[in-house]
Amino acid sequence: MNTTIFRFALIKGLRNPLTLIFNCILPPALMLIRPLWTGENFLSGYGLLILVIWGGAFLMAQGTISDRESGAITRIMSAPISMRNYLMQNLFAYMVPLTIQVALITALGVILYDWGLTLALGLFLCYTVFTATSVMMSFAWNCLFKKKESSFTTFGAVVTFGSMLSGAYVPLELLPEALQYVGAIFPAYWGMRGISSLLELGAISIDYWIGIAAMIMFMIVFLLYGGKRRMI
Amino acid sequence: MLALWLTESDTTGFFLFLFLLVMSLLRWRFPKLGATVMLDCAACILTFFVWPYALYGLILILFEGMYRRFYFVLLAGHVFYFMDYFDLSYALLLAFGALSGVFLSGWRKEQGQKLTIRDEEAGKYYELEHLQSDLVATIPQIERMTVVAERARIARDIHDNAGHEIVAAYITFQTARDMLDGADTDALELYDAALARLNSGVNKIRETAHNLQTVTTLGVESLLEICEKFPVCPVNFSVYGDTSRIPIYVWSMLESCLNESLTNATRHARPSYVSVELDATQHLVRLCIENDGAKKSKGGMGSGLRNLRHRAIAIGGTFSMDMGEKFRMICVIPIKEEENESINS
Repeated sequence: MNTTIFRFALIKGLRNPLTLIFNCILPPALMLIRPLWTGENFLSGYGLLILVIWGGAFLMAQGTISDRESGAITRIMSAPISMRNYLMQNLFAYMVPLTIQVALITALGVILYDWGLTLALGLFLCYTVFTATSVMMSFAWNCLFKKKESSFTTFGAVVTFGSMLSGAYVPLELLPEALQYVGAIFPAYWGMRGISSLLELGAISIDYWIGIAAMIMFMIVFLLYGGKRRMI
Repeated sequence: MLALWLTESDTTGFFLFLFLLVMSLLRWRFPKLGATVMLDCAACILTFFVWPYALYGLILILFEGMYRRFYFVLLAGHVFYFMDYFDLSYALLLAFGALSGVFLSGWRKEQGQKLTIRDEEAGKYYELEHLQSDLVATIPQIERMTVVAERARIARDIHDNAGHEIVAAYITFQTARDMLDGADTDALELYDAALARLNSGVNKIRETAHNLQTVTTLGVESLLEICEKFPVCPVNFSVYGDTSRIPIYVWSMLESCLNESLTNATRHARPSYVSVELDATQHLVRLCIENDGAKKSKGGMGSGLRNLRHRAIAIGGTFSMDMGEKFRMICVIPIKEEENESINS
């Protein structure tokens, strides 16, 4: 199988300094701030990591919109390559660095904070599924816009409100009762729900699997929507 | 439904909503999966026992089912078997969902029909535009052919009429010279000088007539040249009748027919032979082109052939095709009396 598109998407995604900060510097830096992970701080490292992954996935997934904006997609489609192949290679390229980052963070957690096997594997699975869902969401979101700037600005607002309503950096208990469940329309809510149940019980529970299932369903929704929209 | 789920903050409701969304997107992405709407019905009815508001999902399903013209979805109306009582407002909502789907589907169908009509009209417009550009391109070709034909006629007239007369006069003068041997010396010198100038004049006329001959082939020669250059198979070219009566614009039309037919044979068929027959009578010209490659090609009449038909009709002729076992194209063009007279004169 020809992996040229995958390689170029990967290089193009990581060439952006902001993407490098979000994907390579911020997550390990967060891991080094001990109070975030020991419950000594108001902010939770697990929630902030959700936010970082969400942002990092969006920055990576901007490759498709820049291809469309620069007209590269027209040239790619004139080559003997199917749209499905192009999308699959791109999405895979966006997911790979984020998954490596999640694996690295899990390893750091095991080394620095003595995470047990269940917790480490549970967090790895949860963050990996969230990564895939975030990439799909960013891809579907980018399909809605013609300009990269419009997509970036509006998505910034979505991430800010979504993270707040999902409980990524503000505990849901602090929100008004009417808003406590609104965040469920974002995958981050279900990611946080899975992580919270894992942290509270110290074991994989039904609530954890509900979170994973919801994120997978979100992923399918975004993939179906984004895959149907016209790219050219 | 989203509002209901948010109000209730129920995970079951959320999953049902997400499931309906996934299935709806799946049908949007793959329209052939229309029957999966029954799965949605089953999911709503099953969820009803856990979350009563699930039945409201049936309104959406009825709407989508009717929109996609999947009428089995009307079975969802039997939902009242699961309820303890008949809820009129709920029944009205179900009916509203179904009717909205029907109306929207009708509107979409009408929109599709209008789009088809628009596309057909646009196709006709582009075809006419193509025909017009073809005709515009033909005008300079006919002009060029007219000039060349006129030049050839002048050369032929000089060579055949004037040239022969002057040569005959020159020979007569030479014979007369032998009879004048005893005449006055001055008169003989003058006679010889006149004879030499006449000889020079004869040579110049011959040279001029030769230079006037065109390099470009015309008429039958042109058709023959096209046939000889056909690379796929040998072309059997036959001519019957007097072709000198055929006017220039008809030759242009015949050339176009032959070119188009041979191009089509190269592109769409693999003929083992091509036969071209040109039949000229006093009142009409008939060109018949035949090849045995048509059975391998399935296409109908292309824009090139349609344009030729328009052109043939425009000059009072007919253009017909037979795409049976063999491909046969016949173009018949009448020659008007005044054209015959002008050519003769």
